[in-house]
Amino acid sequence: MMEIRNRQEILLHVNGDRRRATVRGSDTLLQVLRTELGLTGAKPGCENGDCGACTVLVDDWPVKACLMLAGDALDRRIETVEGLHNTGTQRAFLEHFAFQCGYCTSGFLMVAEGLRRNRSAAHDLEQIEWLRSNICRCTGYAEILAAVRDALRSEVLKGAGLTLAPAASVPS
Amino acid sequence: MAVGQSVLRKEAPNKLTGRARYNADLSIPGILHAAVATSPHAHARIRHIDKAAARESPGVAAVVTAADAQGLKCGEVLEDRPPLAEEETRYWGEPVALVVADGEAEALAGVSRLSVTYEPLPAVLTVHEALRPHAPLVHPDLSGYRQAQPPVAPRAGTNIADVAHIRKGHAEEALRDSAVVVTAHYHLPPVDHAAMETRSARVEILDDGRVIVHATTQAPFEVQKLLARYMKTQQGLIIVNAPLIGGAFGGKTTVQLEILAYLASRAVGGRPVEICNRREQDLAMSPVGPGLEADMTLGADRYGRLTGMKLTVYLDAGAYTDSSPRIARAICSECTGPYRLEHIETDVYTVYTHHVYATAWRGFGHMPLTFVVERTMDKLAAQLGVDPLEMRRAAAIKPQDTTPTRVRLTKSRLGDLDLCLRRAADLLHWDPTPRDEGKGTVRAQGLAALWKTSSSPPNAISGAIITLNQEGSLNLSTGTVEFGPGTKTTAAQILAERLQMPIEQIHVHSHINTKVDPEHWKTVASLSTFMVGRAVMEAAEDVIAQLKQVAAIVLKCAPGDLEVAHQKVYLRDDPEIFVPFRDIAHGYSYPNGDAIGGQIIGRGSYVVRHITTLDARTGEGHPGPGFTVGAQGVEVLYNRRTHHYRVLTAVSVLDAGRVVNPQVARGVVMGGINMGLSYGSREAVLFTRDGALENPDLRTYKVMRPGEQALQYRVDFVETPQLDSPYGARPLGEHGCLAMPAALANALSRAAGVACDTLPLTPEVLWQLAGMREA
Amino acid sequence: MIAVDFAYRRPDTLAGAYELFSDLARRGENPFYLGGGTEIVTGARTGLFTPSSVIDVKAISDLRALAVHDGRLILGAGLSLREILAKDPWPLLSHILSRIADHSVRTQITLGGNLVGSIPYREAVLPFLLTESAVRLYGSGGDRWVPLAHVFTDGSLRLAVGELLVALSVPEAVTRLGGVACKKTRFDWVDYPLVTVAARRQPGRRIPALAVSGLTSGPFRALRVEDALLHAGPAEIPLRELLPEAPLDDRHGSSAYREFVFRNTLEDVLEQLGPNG
Ligand SMILES: Cc1cc2nc3c(=O)[nH]c(=O)nc-3n(C[C@H](O)[C@H](O)[C@H](O)COP(=O)(O)OP(=O)(O)OC[C@H]3O[C@@H](n4cnc5c(N)ncnc54)[C@H](O)[C@@H]3O)c2cc1C
Ligand code: FES
Ligand code: FES
Repeated sequence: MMEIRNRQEILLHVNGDRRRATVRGSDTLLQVLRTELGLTGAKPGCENGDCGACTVLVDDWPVKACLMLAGDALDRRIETVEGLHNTGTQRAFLEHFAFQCGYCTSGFLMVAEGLRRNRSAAHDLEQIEWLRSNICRCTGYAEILAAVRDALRSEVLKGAGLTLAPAASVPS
Repeated sequence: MAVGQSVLRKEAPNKLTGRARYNADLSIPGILHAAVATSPHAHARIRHIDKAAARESPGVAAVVTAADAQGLKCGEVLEDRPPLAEEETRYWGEPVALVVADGEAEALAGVSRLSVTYEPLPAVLTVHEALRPHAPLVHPDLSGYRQAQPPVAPRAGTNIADVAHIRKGHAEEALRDSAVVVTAHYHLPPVDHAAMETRSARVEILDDGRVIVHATTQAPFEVQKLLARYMKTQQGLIIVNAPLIGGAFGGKTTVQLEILAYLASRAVGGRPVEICNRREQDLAMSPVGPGLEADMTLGADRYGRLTGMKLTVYLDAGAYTDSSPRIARAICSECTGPYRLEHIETDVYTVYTHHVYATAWRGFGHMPLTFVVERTMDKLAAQLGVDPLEMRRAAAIKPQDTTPTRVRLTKSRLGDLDLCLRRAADLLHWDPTPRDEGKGTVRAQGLAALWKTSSSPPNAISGAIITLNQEGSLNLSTGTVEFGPGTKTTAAQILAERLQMPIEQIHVHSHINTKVDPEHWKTVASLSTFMVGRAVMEAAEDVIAQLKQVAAIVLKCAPGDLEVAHQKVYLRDDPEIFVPFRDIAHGYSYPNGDAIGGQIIGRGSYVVRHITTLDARTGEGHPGPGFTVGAQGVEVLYNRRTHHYRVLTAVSVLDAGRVVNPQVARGVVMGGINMGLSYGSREAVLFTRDGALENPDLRTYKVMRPGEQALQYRVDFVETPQLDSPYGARPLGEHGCLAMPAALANALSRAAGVACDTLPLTPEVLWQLAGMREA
Repeated sequence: MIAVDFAYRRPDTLAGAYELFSDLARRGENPFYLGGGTEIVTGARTGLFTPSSVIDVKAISDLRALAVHDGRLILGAGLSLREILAKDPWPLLSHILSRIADHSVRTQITLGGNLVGSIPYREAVLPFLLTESAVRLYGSGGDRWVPLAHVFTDGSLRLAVGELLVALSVPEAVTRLGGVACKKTRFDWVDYPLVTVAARRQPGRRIPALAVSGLTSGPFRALRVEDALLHAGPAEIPLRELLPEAPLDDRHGSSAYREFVFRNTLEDVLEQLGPNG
């Protein structure tokens, strides 16, 4: 039986590394990532499952880290925005100016990355259905949707051995 | 070179990798945490606070109450707010005590052990209740408060914290002689800023007397000054750091958590203490945007020309004034909307109620004001049977007209509203007649116009410092906080343009430190481009003069023979003869090692000019450097049976003077549109009958999510330069939202055949309005 | 962050989970079973719940069943909504689940947690109320299957202390019958329901079977509404007399508005299911 009691040291799989953390049973994954592991890319926006700023990938699926207990994450693969390196998704967000204050950005990126991994052929409505999990207070969302659409489109093309010239993805 | 280009925000790459650090990301190990005990009553007498159990709770280092604040009262305009409730609480969620402990969990546990005995008192929750005769008084001692930043006109013995007026011409007679007069009542609820990052502050008081503050603030220099005053210490000892901010929208102008964190730190011998709002607290305890009630009467002659107006606004300030009296004057200054009106009678009351207090909210009162004016304009057009677009065009205020505060307008000061209106109408394919789309759905459009000036204090200042690195690249330091619109990048663009050099060679930093960065009044009122831009231009001139001075010696010529571009100083008539920045940035060295000059350091400083406070009786005065005008519109598809609707198209045309960064400007406007439509369609801070906050989280306080935004944005700009602004640029940070709720309401009123004079326009509200029409 | 501390435990078997729960309860502790945790974690943060331990049950193999057995579709209570949606064993259920919370949260919410939790909507139960459903419970009464209708009363699942919801089952044939789901909110796509209706064709009957959430304090099978609809249209039926209680009156919508929305929703549902109900 897996167990976390009082303050206890655990091992988490984060961004491809095995990381040690001392946690309480009642610590959320968000808390552990931020305060124990120094991974502050996932943000608290509500700690209530509503805003999505804390989104990380758990076994490749976007999950709100504020709703997950650290214990629940014990034998899972966790990825945070710090684990993304020059991905098509990040580049698309940059090209589309898909953020302003940037506070929501890690969360949106992780949802977009989850889409790319699991449903790269998702049509617009399905993309929106995933992205609705998150809130951005600064943008008009059109920029974010365009970035995600582009990131997925180039993924699909890549699968077919094609690439999209960057210029083609910059909105007029 | 750089102005007019879509330059990426300087800090953009870090925001994509999680490396951009916001205040709560920068906490330090071992810091103490303060948790807040808040009032569970809208209005109650605090009978007793028993600290013992909380103090004994494990890890608790101190319990702080009003007694530790020694009668301190805070407030930007009127000092009416104790940082912690004293004998009475005045809103549900008001801070009553702080528990300072080793960790957040320990602090929260301490709060749960704190026992406060309250005696609930009758509360006034709406301006109606507050204005009734014999209503319970929110501030019985109203006349005793210090006026920190007049004008403000409290009325002792009432719940009226302030009244501001416009008196121009003879409104009464003008309305009496009008062919058509419309009168309407409007009600708009308070709303939250709901920035994705909640507010937080850390304070440490060092043994040498320095106070180190880190805060989510739009106004670090205000924090510095207020803390120095409240704590009776030197401004120079208060060092305020403002890192990247995760959205602000006016909500991070109030100095609240900084004071609480200071009190907490003081209570534990100056050790660093952090206080970080949970979302629920951010909604309930920290300020919101004001709601209002308004009555407007507007007249026209039989040709449709506006004759006169009367406007009474009751601004719902909540329990404390904060910036409401200033918002009231901003509403006065532009109370006509962007229209020519010679006969005006406007009164704006700031009314105390027992709920969370209000502060600036994107647009500083102009969004609700625009709603009131633009709904009334549509009603008047309907009465007259004229096209609302044409009526607005005919009434549009023009150069040589005077504003309600009697500012004479010039083209530079005002911009071109008619062009904005025409362009917006084109983009919308304007058609005022609703169209049946079958299956019970209707397509309808609404238009609204806006204007706004900054309403900054007359002595608002801004500075810029440029230092050169040895290699010839530049560091630019300004006092604006970075919360999204890219003010730092804009400043760098202006500098790059002036020096004709690549923006990549200009370095800005996104953290503000009041000790080293020059002051910028506050990062509000969309004024940064103008004020910072002016300071940057002056600093650039200073750098150019210094560069030329050294280069003149090196090149053996007069400084007047030289030009600066591409990081070189060269002879005007023979650019092949030049000296690069890198050879003179830190002084010039002759081959034998001899050196002249030193580091080039440029300085620029700007103070807004000709701004005056408004006359107490007539409102005459000069509220801001220039205007931004614009026109916005929406097309909605509305279902007559279910009363659901969807915004198909949202249009915005602002007179930007000069668009400095097109893609950023577009983004800021689209974000504004979305926020305006979110406000117009679903947002409201709700209170129970007892005054408790009814929707204290983002599950229940609804803001737009992806997929709910307008299906199409059509954003355009008109460019009528504001001559005293760098490259002619006008403010546009707030403006994207200003007319959206009005445009939405105008469209829905047409679609549903009802008068949408309240917000938010949810399907239920439309259903109610339709029901009233049928009854 | 959650102020109170509690232990996290993940037993491997039903017996292990139940014994652990009983043991802790006997010692005066306040244990909670943990499904997706979306309610417990937020509730513990706001102080609504004060668990002393959480017992994570969702990985126990019996709670992860997703199979057809003896003509019945069995769904483990520990499956996440997203897992069920991915397999889509029952289109009507998928319709309902796809509108609960949002995509990311559906990866966490479990079927069991949605039925047992205290947030009153429990929309996932709606399709199950339309047929001969059964639930597998494990606890003081042993390991047993009982009809859902026996334990789901007045809008909530009546479990004995420490009793685990292990799985649900429905006749497989039912999953192939046509059905529709319709969720109406105040305005937003992601929100609690003002009214959610699940409807399933009933062979040989003109009016579909209807189950409703959001309208009143808990989900219910609307048998009396079904009967009334045999004689009158959604706009005419005397709703107030047919409901277990008056429609809710809260910040999401007034009582009268909920009634209006419900009538509209019934119209939509009947229209979508076509003339034969
Ligand atoms: C952002 C958001 C939006 C939401 N929107 C909706 C919505 O639109 N509609 C809706 O219906 N709900 C909605 N919810 C609420 C949601 O329904 C509940 O949070 C969720 O159903 C709980 O499921 P869980 O698996 O996470 O349960 P948990 O939080 O793990 O548990 C909930 C309760 O059930 C008990 N429990 C769990 N599993 C079992 C079991 N197998 N046997 C016995 N007891 C068990 C637990 O002890 C606990 O008391 C929303 C939640 C969030 C976070
Ligand atoms: S912080 Fe997790 S959803 Fe908002
Ligand atoms: S960019 Fe600020 S919240 Fe999205």
